[in-house]
Amino acid sequence: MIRTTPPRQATIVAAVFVACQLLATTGMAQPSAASPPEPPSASPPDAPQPASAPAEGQAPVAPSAPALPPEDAGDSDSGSVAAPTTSASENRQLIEELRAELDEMKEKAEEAELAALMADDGSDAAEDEEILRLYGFADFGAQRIWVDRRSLVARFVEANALSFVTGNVNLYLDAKPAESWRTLIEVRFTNAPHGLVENYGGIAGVFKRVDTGQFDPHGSGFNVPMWRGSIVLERAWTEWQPYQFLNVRVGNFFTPWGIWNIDHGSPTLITLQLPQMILQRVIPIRQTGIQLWGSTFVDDWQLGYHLTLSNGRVVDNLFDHDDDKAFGARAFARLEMGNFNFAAGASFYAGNQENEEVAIRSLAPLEVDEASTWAYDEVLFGLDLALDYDDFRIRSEFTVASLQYEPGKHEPLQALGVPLGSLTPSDNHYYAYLILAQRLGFWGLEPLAFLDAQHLETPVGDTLITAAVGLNIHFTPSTLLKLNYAQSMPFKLSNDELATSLDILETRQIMGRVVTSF
Amino acid sequence: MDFRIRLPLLLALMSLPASLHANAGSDIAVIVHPSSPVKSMSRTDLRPIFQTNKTDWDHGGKVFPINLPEGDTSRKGFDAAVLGLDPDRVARYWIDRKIRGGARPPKKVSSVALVLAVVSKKPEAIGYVPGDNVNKNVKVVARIRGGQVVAP
Repeated sequence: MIRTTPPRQATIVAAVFVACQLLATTGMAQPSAASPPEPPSASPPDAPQPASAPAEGQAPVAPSAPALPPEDAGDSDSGSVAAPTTSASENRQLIEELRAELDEMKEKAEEAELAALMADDGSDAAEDEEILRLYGFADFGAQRIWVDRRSLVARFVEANALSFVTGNVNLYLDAKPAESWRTLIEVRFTNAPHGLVENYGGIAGVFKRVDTGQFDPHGSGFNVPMWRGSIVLERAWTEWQPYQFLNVRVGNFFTPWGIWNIDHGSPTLITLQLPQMILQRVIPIRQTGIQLWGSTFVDDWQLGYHLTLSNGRVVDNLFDHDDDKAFGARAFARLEMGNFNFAAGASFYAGNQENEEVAIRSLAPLEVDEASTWAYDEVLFGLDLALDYDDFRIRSEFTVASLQYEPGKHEPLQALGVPLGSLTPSDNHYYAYLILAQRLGFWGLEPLAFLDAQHLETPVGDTLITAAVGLNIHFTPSTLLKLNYAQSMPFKLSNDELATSLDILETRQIMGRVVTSF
Repeated sequence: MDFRIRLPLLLALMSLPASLHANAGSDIAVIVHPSSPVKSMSRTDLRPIFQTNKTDWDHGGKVFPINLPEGDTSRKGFDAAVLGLDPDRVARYWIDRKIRGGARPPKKVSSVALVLAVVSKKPEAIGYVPGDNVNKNVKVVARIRGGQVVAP
């Protein structure tokens, strides 16, 4: 439900408009040569001061209109203009009435605004309070990825093709149903999925996707395809905020981890290029569960924490299938001084993943085969740093992920250059990125540089470096153009033999997005 | 001046927010309810409240910060002195907060008179007004003078 108060300014402007129309139609045109009335000053002596204090319990009264011109203002002996059809006294009376009406409207508008503020407890009494706020962001643009055509990656649909893209169309529904309660829902509108991709084609066969298409019931012809689309629930949670040091959030929330996962949206993120820790879902992007968080202040520093208990990485399914829950924690320190902002934090996550296959052999009597096919424990740890000094920005994160499979329960490894039947080994993975950006003093230009590195053993190398340069052009605080060029290069730091040549795995990418927030 | 032209101008002038032309040459007073035990506040105290990072008064209860409209002279002076941000950066700050899912910005009211009215009636409220608009129904806990937050 959206409740709004009629815009006060609009009401006043409407009244002014009506007044002008009436004055025009009642013949207020007066000669100005003989006895022109004194023009009213901007602050006539008898006009009340704008913010005169109201007495206790009394609604504030809007300033009255300045004094009218003298009653004989319209009387003139000039004969060059047609005589007015309405006398000056009648005009004066009309203006008085309009002025009184205007004052009354302004007074009522302010009374309504005050009443809404005073009843800001989210109760039904706050009839005029804004319970639900809608806002969001969107980005649209184009991109191209260059891949060596000898590479299997070149068979991916996104490769070697310039494509205009609809990036994000995200809408926030921010509700405050009662004092100390808040519900935030963020949805992303997409034209996807048009069914899951079953086969990417190339050497693996023919590109194939599950067709979920429908015919348009409003089409006047036969088999008119309907524009497909879906809504992604980015997050949806309700929060109880009883104390500064303790807030309780339940639902589906972004994992409180570092910088990127919180900044999240294209207006806030500095680069278009995503770091591998996000691209590869090294951290669970979102979790369903409960989160406690809070903070306190020590001088200028805000010290805070987050604690999470959740289903872990189980976000695509409606339920968790076991009682093993994931636990996460984050501690941060933040200093926001305006031209100098600093934030640092440490994040932790521990969970496990297990795949169980259930087969019913007989219903009567019930005979069920249950088998755990793969299972691993994962522990993640991360450090993050954000620094703003005037228009210079630094962002950096480091994450280490430890995946330990249970004996005999390794997950099948499906990756480029990997022989069929390979299993994912237990291993530690390392990820880090660094962003430097400097906003210039003209045209809203903000050049930037981005360096991302990941280290994990794979058959096609153990290190991937991505370097990017970009330019953000800030037209206004809520509109900008983001341009990005990136190159990814795999390396092999160890002496192990490679399953494929590294140079054909290099990719180059150019992206551009117009980003708006609203 | 032709009266037909002059009157609409006069009425249009009336519709301007009072505070647009109320603060020239004066300081800004940060005000709370008279019953508040707070006697003085520094920039360190005010900044997290008006960033809505700090939600509770030290003496208990939720803080209810009130802002004037973005174009208001007092708002600009307050943001520059307390948040250290010009209007463009203030706008970006709150956009970033929205996208991150952070807390809502302070309530915004349309006039200085409303700031005074709310603060005088709501014990948790804190706002700011041009210094010469302060009345006995509110208590001044800080002043912004020469771009600096100073004791009342």
